[in-house]
Amino acid sequence: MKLKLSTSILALCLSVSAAQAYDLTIAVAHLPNTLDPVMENSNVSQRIIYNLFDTLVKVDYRDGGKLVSGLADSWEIIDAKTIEFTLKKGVHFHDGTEMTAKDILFTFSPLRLGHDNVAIGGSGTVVSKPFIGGIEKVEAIDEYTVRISMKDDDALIIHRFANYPSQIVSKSAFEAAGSYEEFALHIVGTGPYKFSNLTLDDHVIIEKFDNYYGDNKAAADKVTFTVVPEISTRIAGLRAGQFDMITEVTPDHIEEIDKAENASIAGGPILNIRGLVYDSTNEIIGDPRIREALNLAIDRETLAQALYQNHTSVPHGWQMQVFGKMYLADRPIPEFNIEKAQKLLKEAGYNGEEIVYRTQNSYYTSQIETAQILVAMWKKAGLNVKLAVKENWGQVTEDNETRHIFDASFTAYYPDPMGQFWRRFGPTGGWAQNDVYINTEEMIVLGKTLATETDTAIRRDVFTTMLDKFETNPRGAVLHELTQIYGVRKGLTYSPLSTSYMDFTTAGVSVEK
Amino acid sequence: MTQQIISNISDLEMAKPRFAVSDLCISFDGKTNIVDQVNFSLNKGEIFGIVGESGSGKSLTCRAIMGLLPNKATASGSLHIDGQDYELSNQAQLHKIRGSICSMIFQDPMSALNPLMTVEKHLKLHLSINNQQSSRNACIHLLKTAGMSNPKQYLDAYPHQLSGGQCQRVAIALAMAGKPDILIADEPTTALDVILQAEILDKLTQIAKNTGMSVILISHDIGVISQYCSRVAVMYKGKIVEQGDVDTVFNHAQHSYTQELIASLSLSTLTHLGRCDGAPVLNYQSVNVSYTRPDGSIVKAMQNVSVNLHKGEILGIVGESGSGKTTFAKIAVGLVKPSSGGIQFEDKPLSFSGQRGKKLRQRIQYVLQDSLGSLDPRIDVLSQVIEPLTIHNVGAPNQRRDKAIKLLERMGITASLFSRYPRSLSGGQRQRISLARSLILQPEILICDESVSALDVAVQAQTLNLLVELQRELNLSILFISHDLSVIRHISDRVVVMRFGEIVELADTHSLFNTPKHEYTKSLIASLPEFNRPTEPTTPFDTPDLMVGE
Amino acid sequence: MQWTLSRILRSLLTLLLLASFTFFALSLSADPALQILGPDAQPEIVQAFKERWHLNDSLWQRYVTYIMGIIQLDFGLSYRTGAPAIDIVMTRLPATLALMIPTGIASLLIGIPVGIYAALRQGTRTDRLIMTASVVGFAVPNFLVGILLMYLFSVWLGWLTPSGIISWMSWIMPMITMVSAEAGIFARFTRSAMVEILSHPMLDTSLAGGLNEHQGLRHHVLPNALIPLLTLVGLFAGNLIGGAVITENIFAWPGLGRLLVESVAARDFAVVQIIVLLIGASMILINLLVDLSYGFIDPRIRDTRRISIKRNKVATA
Repeated sequence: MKLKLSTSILALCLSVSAAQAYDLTIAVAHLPNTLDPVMENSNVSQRIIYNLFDTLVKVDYRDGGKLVSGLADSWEIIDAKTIEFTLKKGVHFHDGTEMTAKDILFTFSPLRLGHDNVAIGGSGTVVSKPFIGGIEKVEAIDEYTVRISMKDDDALIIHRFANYPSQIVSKSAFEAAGSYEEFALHIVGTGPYKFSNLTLDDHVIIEKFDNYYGDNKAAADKVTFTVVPEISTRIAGLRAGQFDMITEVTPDHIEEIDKAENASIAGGPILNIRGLVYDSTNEIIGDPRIREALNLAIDRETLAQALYQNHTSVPHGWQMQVFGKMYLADRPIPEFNIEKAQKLLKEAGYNGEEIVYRTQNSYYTSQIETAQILVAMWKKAGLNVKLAVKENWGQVTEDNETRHIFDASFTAYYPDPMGQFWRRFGPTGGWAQNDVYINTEEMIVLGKTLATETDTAIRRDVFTTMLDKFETNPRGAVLHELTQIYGVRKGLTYSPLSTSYMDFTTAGVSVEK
Repeated sequence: MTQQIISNISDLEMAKPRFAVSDLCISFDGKTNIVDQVNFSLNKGEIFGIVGESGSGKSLTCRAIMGLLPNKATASGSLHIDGQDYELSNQAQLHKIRGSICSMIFQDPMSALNPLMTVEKHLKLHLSINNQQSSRNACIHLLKTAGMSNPKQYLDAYPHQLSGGQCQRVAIALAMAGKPDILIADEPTTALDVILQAEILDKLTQIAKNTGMSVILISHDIGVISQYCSRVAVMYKGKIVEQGDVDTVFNHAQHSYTQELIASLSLSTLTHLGRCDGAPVLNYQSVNVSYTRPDGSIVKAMQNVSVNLHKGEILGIVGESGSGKTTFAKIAVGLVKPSSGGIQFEDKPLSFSGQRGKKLRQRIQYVLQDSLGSLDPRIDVLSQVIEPLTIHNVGAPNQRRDKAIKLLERMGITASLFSRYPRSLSGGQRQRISLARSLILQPEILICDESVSALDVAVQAQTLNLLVELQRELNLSILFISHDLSVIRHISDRVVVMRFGEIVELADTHSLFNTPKHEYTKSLIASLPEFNRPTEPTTPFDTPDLMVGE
Repeated sequence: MQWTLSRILRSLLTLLLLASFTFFALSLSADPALQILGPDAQPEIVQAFKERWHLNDSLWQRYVTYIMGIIQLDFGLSYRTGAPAIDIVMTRLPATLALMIPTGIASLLIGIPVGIYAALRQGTRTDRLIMTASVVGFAVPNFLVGILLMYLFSVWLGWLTPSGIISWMSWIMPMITMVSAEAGIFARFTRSAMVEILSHPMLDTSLAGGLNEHQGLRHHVLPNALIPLLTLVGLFAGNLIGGAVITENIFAWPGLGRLLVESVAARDFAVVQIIVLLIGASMILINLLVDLSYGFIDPRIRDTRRISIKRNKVATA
């Protein structure tokens, strides 16, 4: 026992020391519990696994979200339910085996996904279900051709295999690991970096994979993500040269880093909308006109400016530019109109009844400040909103007569309304299922079309109709885009992706020599 | 042999002083002298007394001689010992004389020793520091010299396992370890019972006689001084107001303070009314109290005690500590329950439960020894006295204040003191306020448990006289508990002598003091130091050894 | 012997109560499923998670399972990783010990001598200076001290790296942060214990008997001042753990304190429980040792213990 303790102290010292030329150290606020994509769905996991895995098709975020070849050379959407991929040849996993159809079959097999057997694995055996739970069958046509069929028509069929959690893992590595938990600790993919070490809540180390098939190779020999919970310490470490990059820079620290001689700021929006959810099953804001008034009373641009200066923007409704063809560019940002709000309140007969807004201290960046500003804005329109600060999500979402407004964020997992807006507000989303509101039949039908129709023009029309209807009977509010701000040391250039992924290939990082 | 040498030395040297203090002044602020121009001297083998009330500067004088003044104090003057001169201003230099030339014992023997060290360790430490042979035998010898019987048995004991008298003997042994020429004894027996006091002082006298050691005996007790000292200095407010041989000073007192001191001694002249003819108010009927000590042994704090307190009577209860006299008081206020037997108040069993019990608490009042501890330090004098009325809801609220003022004035507390806090009052004033707090409720029975023991003699006398006056005015019944025979004799109508929880003797005051029946009473009275009594060794009464180890 | 045995039994009972309290406090304050899966989780996912970890069982059932597990030294799996919680805790224990043991020793080695020094110069300017410094030491929050040090040594001077364990130099700032507080407490406490003993009459007796001040100090004052100090050492252990949680967070020290914070936030029951039990057990152990040494140092306490056992015997007889 004694020996074990002392050797692990030694190991701790060694693992973090020895800074070499091309090693990067990233100070982060949190680390994932596990790196297997189907085990955990979190920002902190995604920024690391982007470097470890590839998907069959890739989204080029540096080129407007264009779909490009990933592990598959080409693909063909056979019908609304079926897609066929032709795999690249000569792609190797980190364990040295070549990637073939068997690995694709394994990656999407029930054994690996755990959809049918919740008794295996840790927390996240089921987190992938909302994303790829619709897979009916995966067949190998030959060693390099794979056909995947969905249970229902699926407008997002191609996106499902271009995004989280469809990262391809090695079958042989899984078998070698012997158990689900072991595999999660010795994860093997095809990405530019290979997994080296994870110590819970302390550090993750990934190392350059020399045999990477892609064009953009790993930029560093080793990247260490080390947990530094305090922002002040992260900044001190950046300025002292201990860290190459730091994450989760809060808006109030941007100026300090900007002014420092040897550091700069990078980053921006990350395909995530910060918003609110309204409980419309509650009498007090049951009237849609009151909810519309709540939305009209928010001056979003002032809010974004106050909190983030010019580091974020207000989205044009429930959509993002990466939606590509589905992006309704002409749609304005949500309207700010106090007179209209007051008029609606009058019509609805609102008489200053107390509306409760449940928030938390710091789950989201500047969460409490945001809430206070909102309450003040609502007050101007005559809305009496009381702030209730809660400790955890259980308390925030507790279903009783004081659940009226609460905070949420909306990640665009897929560059499509179905990956963001209707994923959250639709009938399969958590809130509809937890009786926060009941979707109208009309919206449900529209949503079904949006989910299954493959014609883009029709889908655009449907999406427009849905957003219009949502505006007059809102279930929630758009506030602003969420951002991820990084501090970067002098001599290192980082060009961020517009997502929570972090890119440590030569496309993302360049080091001054 | 030794006897002979000593007598030779004394013939030669007794004549001129071996030890002299000249022009000693002590100041705390560098301006005013707390001790002012003190001069005295003493001869070989002499016992020199310093008498005075607390705060008169007698202890400071001795500390200055030992070089043990508090840091803030400065001294001036000089010390002459056997031809050597020392500057008293240089306190650090005086450490040379400590232990081997001059040594000292203090008032509180229970805290004079290190609780973590055995007796033997203490002795060995002091012997080796003074370059003496520090064998076990040397320790035993030293303890014997200090008057410890069965010294071997105590070597391995820790201070907490010893009684106060034993501790003081160990302290004397420690002081003797360096074979000093001069021993300063600062109130060495004040904390002890009379019998122990006599033993210890006799022992000191004996040592002085045998070894030629000179002793400076400091006491507030004129009886002690006059019995044991050949010469005496009377200190008052930092000055020696009178000095000379005991007979001259006490019989022909020049200074008014000395006269007052002597006058206060004649307590026993108070005429006793012998008022035991009233109806019994408190009736102890074969009361037994026993409890289990932590070590499992059973202590009988009271055995078969039957006595009546009559209406308008002062019943004195006297005894050594542990004799059960406090149990007496505690039973009367319900703090201790008799194991068997009973106590009746006005022919009904005494009970403090219920509505009647609450009323009873008002009718029986208890005055403690520690006046500072029994007063609330944060409220002023007047409020202290009003408070009991509020608690017991006596009288109209707007009249309580007048009532309190009236009583306080009756007790000699002037209006200028009403807004003061207990800490800024003298001990006598505080004790009068404690008394006032009890009397304001117009009780029928007053229980005074060593209520005047902490006061200086002069103040003690005043307080006692006031108490007697009030008692007669209000027709109070008083249970007066004290270890001090002279106080008991002064105030009581009848006296109960307690020992080991039993009543040894119960008689009216006059007959008890003039014709004591029981041996123990006799020895108590014999060991009472009396003014101008010729020095004669008392026969030590066989005091039981208190617990030693297990 | 009997005293020791009864102390051990009481300690175990304390641990059991501690475990129960933690269980209910954690269970009732938040739902681990929501904490781990996040607010976006769909009900079926939450449901699956709850089934996986038997969170649908009644509180009472879970409590019994949990306590039975502890009795068999089976502390369960981490909700977050599915790995045995004890393994996760054990990988973090060395770093915490490596910080706390030197910090504890340094606090004692600095605080006690400084306190003695101040007591001997009681009332002087040196004394006031030391006492002011020690008040500042423990009154200024560790958090603030840590950040100030970091800006001084890392950002401004560039001498030290602010986070993690990199070399022996990594110990400097966390230790200054914690020692400044703990040594301050010790200095004050030592001083007051000393001042009290310095006015004890036994010192007069020994000085009057010929001991010099140095000897009086060594034989009487220090041994007696040790007794109240021992009590403080018992409390100190708890203080140190509290301080470690904050200090580890500031300096990103890979220890238990940080793991505890993360695990409580995630309601990762098994991990939190082990850490709490570990802290509890070490506090109990330290206080047991403190109690034992009381008896070793102080004969009065030895006697009362002997007597109380005797009394028990009498009572049972």
